[in-house]
Amino acid sequence: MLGQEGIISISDIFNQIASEIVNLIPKILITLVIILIAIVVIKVLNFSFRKLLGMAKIDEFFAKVTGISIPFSITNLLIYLADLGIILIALYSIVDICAGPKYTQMMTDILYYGARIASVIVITLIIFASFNLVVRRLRVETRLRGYMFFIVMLLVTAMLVDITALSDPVKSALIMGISIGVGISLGVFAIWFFFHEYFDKIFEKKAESQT
Amino acid sequence: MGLKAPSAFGLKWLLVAESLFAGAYIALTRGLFLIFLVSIGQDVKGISLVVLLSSFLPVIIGFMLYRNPRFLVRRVKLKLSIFHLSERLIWFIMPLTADLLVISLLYSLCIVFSSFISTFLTFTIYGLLKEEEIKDVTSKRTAAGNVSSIIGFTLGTLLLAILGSAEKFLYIFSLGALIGILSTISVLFMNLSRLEDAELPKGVKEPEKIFSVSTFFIAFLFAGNLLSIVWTPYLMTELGGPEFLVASLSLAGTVSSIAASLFWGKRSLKSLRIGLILNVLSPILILFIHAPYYHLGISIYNSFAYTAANFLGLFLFARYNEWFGAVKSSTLIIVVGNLAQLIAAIFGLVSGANYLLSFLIIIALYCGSLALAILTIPEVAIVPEALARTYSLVLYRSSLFGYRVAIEISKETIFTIFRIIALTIVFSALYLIYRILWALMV
Repeated sequence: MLGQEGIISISDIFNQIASEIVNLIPKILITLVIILIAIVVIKVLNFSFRKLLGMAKIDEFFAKVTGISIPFSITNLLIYLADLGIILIALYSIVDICAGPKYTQMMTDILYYGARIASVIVITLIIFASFNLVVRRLRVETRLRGYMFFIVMLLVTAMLVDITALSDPVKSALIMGISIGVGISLGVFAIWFFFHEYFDKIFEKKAESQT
Repeated sequence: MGLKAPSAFGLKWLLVAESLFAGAYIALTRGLFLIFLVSIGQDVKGISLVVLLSSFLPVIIGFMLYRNPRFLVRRVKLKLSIFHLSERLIWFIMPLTADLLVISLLYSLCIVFSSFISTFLTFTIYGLLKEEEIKDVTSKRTAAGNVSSIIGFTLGTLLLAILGSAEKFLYIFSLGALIGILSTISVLFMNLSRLEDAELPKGVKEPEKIFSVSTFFIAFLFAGNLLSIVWTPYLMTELGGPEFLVASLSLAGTVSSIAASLFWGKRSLKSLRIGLILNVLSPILILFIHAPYYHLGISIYNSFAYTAANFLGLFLFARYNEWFGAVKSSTLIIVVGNLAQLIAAIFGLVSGANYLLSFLIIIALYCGSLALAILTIPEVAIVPEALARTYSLVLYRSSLFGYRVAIEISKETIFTIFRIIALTIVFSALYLIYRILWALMV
């Protein structure tokens, strides 16, 4: 009897698997079609964007107008952005069709988090690029360069804290501490920068009077 | 050049005969074309469309011929005869239809053929005759053409009045075309073999001279064409002149130009300068004399002076023909004439009934062309020849520089527009992609 029951339960399992597969087939086919369409759209977009941006000469124009040479191509950036958009649309469509709206919401959350990480990376890159530019243009002395780098690192740390999985009170406490630190160091620097000659004189006088 | 025939006597009279028959042919066909358009029910819009379309084509053809003059120097007689005959044959077909599109196409074709004919005939005159002979034949052709055109217009008016309304244009246009074929026969008798494979100058020796004369001639012809566009409506609407006065004005002008052609034909370039000076007075007189009947006298005066100034331009090209070449001279004259006509037509359409503005522009253009002639063209200049050459050179170089700058700016502007369009498309596509994504996310 047990053997017969076991066979029945195994056959049920197979039946269930088979019915699930049958149910999944349309979804798989739709997914394949979506992927295929996305690939075609990406190919077409890449080709047409490359032609259009080649005609617009956006990189040359940007370099001419701003006088800054950026380490990446704006044409490629725009093409990657378009590709990313198409991939995300395809991904959303597939998740929506295969897994349902609950998973779509989850994906949105992941995307938001991914966007925050990306924004931190982008801002860090921009800050470092600006830092490099300032250092190169103003020929800043080594000590001052170190100070500026220190401030930049503090700002980047504050942003990194924001995207960590720490609890909100800990995050706010850390960011508050970093902000106060940045504020104080900027204040001290400003006082030194504007009044250091005056202070030097005072200290020299004091030293002379002591000797 | 090596193109001049030893005896050009026969050719000269054949050219005069061609103009004689062509004058009546033009009067009976193209001269009545606007009336024909009105008779088949076309309004101002339709007429403007036909006229504007046909004004553009000769300019384009002229430029094409100037850039590729080789077309002119091969099988000259055959091409001239075919264009000549084809233009006449079109007028047999024209009255058979009332469709504006077909009429526009036929008329445009007729203008295209006419443009080729003018170029080939000018090439014949400049290529086979000497300077004095060119002067002689130009004046005689103008006189003959005008005599014949008076006869043609008289005949046309009579036939319009006599014939029944249904088929009158069929008869009038056919008669005109038949007379036109007589001028084609004159062409058939011409010996144009010496024009075959005529030498094409590799470079222009004195481009500044050609530039000065062309600029002078465009300014002068533009003013002349604009005056002919503006004068009639001004006389009728502003001064209240009767319709027959307008017809008489045209007749008086034509008669005057016959006498003027014979009078100015043998004069030197310096004498023709007087005509150019006298010509400046014409628009001033038209503007300030408000008695319509006095305009008859002004028309006689205007035609007399205008013929001299017109001859000045043509004869200057005849002189430069020696080194500029018959091919280039003839095509350039036609281009200049057509361009001036087109600009005047467009300006006439734009300026509308603003007569004061139009007359002021005509006066300014006449003064400008006079200044150009007496300062930059050494043959007619009042300043010493060397100074005129310098002025001419300065004008040419500054214009050339301005032209290059303008071309560069235009090119840059067009490229920038294309770049902006390309960027707009790219950013619109990006916006569309992320807008769809946003709709899926929310």
